[in-house]
Amino acid sequence: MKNGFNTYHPISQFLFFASVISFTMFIMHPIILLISLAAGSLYVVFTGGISGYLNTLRLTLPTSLMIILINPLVSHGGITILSYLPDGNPFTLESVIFGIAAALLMSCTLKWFYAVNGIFTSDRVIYLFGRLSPRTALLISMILRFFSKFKAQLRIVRAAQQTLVREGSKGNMIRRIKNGVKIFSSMLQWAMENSIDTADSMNSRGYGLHKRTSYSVFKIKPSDILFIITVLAFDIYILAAYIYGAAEYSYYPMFDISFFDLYTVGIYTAFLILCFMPFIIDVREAGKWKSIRSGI
Amino acid sequence: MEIYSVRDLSFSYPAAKEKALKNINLSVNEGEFVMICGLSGCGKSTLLRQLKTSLRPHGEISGTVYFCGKPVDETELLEQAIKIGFVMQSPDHQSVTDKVWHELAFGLENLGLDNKTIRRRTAEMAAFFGIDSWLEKSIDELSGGQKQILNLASVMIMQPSVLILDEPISQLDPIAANEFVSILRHISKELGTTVIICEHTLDYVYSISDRIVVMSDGRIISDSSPEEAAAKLFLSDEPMFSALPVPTRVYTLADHSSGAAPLDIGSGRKWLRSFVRDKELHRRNYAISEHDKTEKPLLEMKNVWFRYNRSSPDVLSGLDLKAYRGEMISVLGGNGAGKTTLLHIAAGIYKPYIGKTVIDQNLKTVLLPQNPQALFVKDSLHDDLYDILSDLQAPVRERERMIKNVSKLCGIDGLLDRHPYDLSGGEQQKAAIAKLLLTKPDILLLDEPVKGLDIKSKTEIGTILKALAANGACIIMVSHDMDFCAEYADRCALFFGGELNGISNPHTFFSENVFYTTAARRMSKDILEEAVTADDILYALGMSISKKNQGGDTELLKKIYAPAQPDEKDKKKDKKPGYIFPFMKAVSFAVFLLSVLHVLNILPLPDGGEHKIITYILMLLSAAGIIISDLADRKKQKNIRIAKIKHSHTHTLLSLSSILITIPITIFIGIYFLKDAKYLFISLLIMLECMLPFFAVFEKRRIRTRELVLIAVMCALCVLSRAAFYMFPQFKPMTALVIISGAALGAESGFLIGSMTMLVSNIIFAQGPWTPWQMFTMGIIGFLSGMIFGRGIAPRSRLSFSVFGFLSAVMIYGGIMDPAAMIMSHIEPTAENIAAYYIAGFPMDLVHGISTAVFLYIGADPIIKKLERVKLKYGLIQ
Repeated sequence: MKNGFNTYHPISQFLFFASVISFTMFIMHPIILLISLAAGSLYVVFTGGISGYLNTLRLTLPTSLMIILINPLVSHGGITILSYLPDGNPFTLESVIFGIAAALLMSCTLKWFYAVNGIFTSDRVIYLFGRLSPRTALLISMILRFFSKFKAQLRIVRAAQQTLVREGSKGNMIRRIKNGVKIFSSMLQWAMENSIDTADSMNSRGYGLHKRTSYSVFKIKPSDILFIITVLAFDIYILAAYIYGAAEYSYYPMFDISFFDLYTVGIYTAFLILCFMPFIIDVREAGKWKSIRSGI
Repeated sequence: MEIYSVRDLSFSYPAAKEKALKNINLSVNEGEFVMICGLSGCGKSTLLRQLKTSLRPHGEISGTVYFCGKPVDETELLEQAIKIGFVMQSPDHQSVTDKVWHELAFGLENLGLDNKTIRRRTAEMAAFFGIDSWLEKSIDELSGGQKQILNLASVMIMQPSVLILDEPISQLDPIAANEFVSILRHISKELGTTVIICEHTLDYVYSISDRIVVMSDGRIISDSSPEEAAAKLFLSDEPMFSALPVPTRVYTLADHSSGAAPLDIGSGRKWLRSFVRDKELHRRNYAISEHDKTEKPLLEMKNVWFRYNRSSPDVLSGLDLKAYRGEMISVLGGNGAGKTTLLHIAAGIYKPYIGKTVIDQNLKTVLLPQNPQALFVKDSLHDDLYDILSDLQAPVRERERMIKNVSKLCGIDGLLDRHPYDLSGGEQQKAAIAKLLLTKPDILLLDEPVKGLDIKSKTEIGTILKALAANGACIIMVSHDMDFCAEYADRCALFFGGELNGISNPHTFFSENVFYTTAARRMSKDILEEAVTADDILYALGMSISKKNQGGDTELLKKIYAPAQPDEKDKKKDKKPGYIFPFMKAVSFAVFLLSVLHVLNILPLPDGGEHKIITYILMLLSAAGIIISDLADRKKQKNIRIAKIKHSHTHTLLSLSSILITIPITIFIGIYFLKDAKYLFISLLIMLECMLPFFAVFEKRRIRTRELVLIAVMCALCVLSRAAFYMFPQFKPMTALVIISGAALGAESGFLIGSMTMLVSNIIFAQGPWTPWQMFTMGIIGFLSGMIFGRGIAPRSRLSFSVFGFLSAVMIYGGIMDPAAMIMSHIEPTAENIAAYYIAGFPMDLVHGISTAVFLYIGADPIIKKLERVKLKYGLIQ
């Protein structure tokens, strides 16, 4: 795919993910959560395959279980009492349901962040920061460069120090920590002493003499503008409806059972379309690309 | 037109006895290709750095450098940045950003050019250098040669009128060096750019230079055409003479009468053919002592297969090698073929998946990495050598004797007080070898021991290695330097296809090769038989050779390898310390530990949910007790010295006060307008408000490039310590390093380092809703450390560092991050809830706290010392 969602401008992508993730996190509404979970899971499978999905599951399951377990033990709101805890506090259905919703929220956000991590490569992060603070953006870029350099050096230092360690003193725990500190401090010294070259090279190329610009390889295309306008329109609609109270849902003292009315269905639909927009783009582009390629 | 004119330039480094440059006069015309050569330490790099103001080292200067007719220090810095391009030695350290396109654009961004212009210029540059296929790559994916070409391209993109290069090819392998030089020649010939290059390996650049300037001891001793320079060097008996390209050298020694000196192999062959026409050639019998096959090899590799990952290709495939006592084996071969891997397998760092390495249990094997700096850990050469002996059962005097012997053998006995990083490349290499020798090695595995060294250091190292082999050690060395191998090795082998091929003595090896062989062999092929070194050619031509390879102090070597003498009288006794305060400390520690265990419910003390609070208070009190008893005990404990960084303005108060104003307002708005229901929203807002001032100040304040680089380095090290460095699971030194950074670089930088570390490591791991929380928390830890230690509020002793480390990991990091999980899932932050989440996360926090404390206890002092040295070196402190 030449023009899939992953090739869109970082601002478009940021706006999309920011909208979806904040709606998911701030409107803690069961239907919204379910929609978000469905779209997020689909996205994870779409980009990372089944193994990617299992990865997110491995991350979310323990936390989710913890939330589901802890909540009814410490939160005693709600009127449907199922039983009593050893300390005399009530164990309520509402707190169980809220725990499940909270766990759901956690796994939703993690699924979306998985997608974010796939799409927001370092240069996109740097681009976004470059809009706000060019110096921070440069700093990130420098840190990434240094990081990969240091990682390689760490391997070298480890190998070099390994043969110098006397046999028989390897197993001792204090010795191992000391040796670790030694390796790290050798690494640190190498990094700091040699970074003077980096500073010289920056100065030599005129850093700090003039107001800097941030060059980027990203261009805003018409499709980006269309996308941004659409997302913003949905955002405004959902936000307005939310402030009006259409997506209000209460878990305590008793969880609502009425999920559907005219306003809420409007919000659900809007959020559903919003969540699935990358898919719509990708599927349409795949079709387009297929027909173009058959013409080559 | 005269581009540069240097008039009566002298220069001396601060506190140096002798001047580094003495009365230099030099002029360079437009379009010229000038090479400055000389042994390392002759002042050639110092001279180059005088040509651009921003690169001038501190020191005392007299005389003037004119650039385009104007003194260079009166030329606008911006104009200098554009017109004077400067490429340095190391391919790795010059690049600033992580992506190739960004690196190319970096200089243009500094000039404030717009996106469109930068795009056009990078496209043009990429096409000129033929690097358009790498533009999207990360710089760390490039090879050393490619990195250096990128460094050249990112300087050329500024469109300089003069290009200055400080040993640009000394770190490259022969093929990459050739490619780099051909691009350089292209730039000089096609664009007319003036080129000033300094090198001590003359082979590549000599023949394409218009002028050769030879320096020695801070003076220019010769300034002439390449043809004349050879004769001048010969007459003045300069050591640089033996660094000349082989054809030039042989011609000058043998003939120096018929026409101009040949500068490359082609003209050298022409000359040699006509020179030998009517001469009778001397034949030498290259008698080879083959190894006795019955002798047991010291190291044997049998059918070794190795790959790094299950799915990656084989690096070694069925490699066999037998290495015997007393010999030096050279492994040659292409770049990235796996020669270093071979050494690592021989050293036992990696295990082959088929086959094995057989080394006798009692033998000591050591590895010299390509860059000797990887071996240095201490702040002076003496301490660094001593460090190797630290767990040896030998008295101090005996150890000192060993250090003295080793440093004498390696010719570094005058340098023992110096910092290892203040030594030249050759001295560092010799120091590294000295360090290895202290372990009395039987097998030495050397990775490119003479890379980037001048001819003098090469000879010295060759002599040491020869002596070592003669004394019974076995040396396996990987090298690209064919002349060095031809001269010193006993056997050579070509590494190709994961195997060693054609292993034989240097004469057979290099005379059987036609392309991959020494310059002397290429020059004399079909004309002389079996001549592989310049000396061989000269011998055949009837010249006497005075030089000796053998040497080295064998007596000294025997002493070094002799077993350590136990010396009873010399036992050191520790002075008895006062024991009241250490006792108090121990008690506080015990109480601290007990209370921690109680909090964890591991200790079944009289129970009670509410009583836990008492335990918590006890925990804090005992922590305070540790600090107080430590304070009192300070007489014995040294304080770690930290100098304050000079800032043009301090904004700490500004950011603090803005935080103090905005946070209450946010909470107020949250309570009254959002009815306190959206904790998540409010907490995110508060964190944002806390972080913004720091980033705003960072963006606006004037910052010296070196400080910025140091911040980036510390961040990268913290990220590394989170991502790749742990001794045990969850036992990572990241928090400790953030604390050290805050203490050494100040509160604001501490905040920045803490929060950027979390942001960037999450780019590498995974971003999540936790990113802002982690950024905030680590930032606060760095900030507090800067406030407490940077301003000297708390004593900077090891113990108070580690107590602070423990508390900040358990209370700040745990105290914010554990409840954060709750707030992120919209669970109401009641006291009970917070306690439940905190306790659930407490075991992890405890491991985190202990690891931070341990790391700080051991590491704070040495690491801060290193940081302080760099701060001083960078000129960040008065």
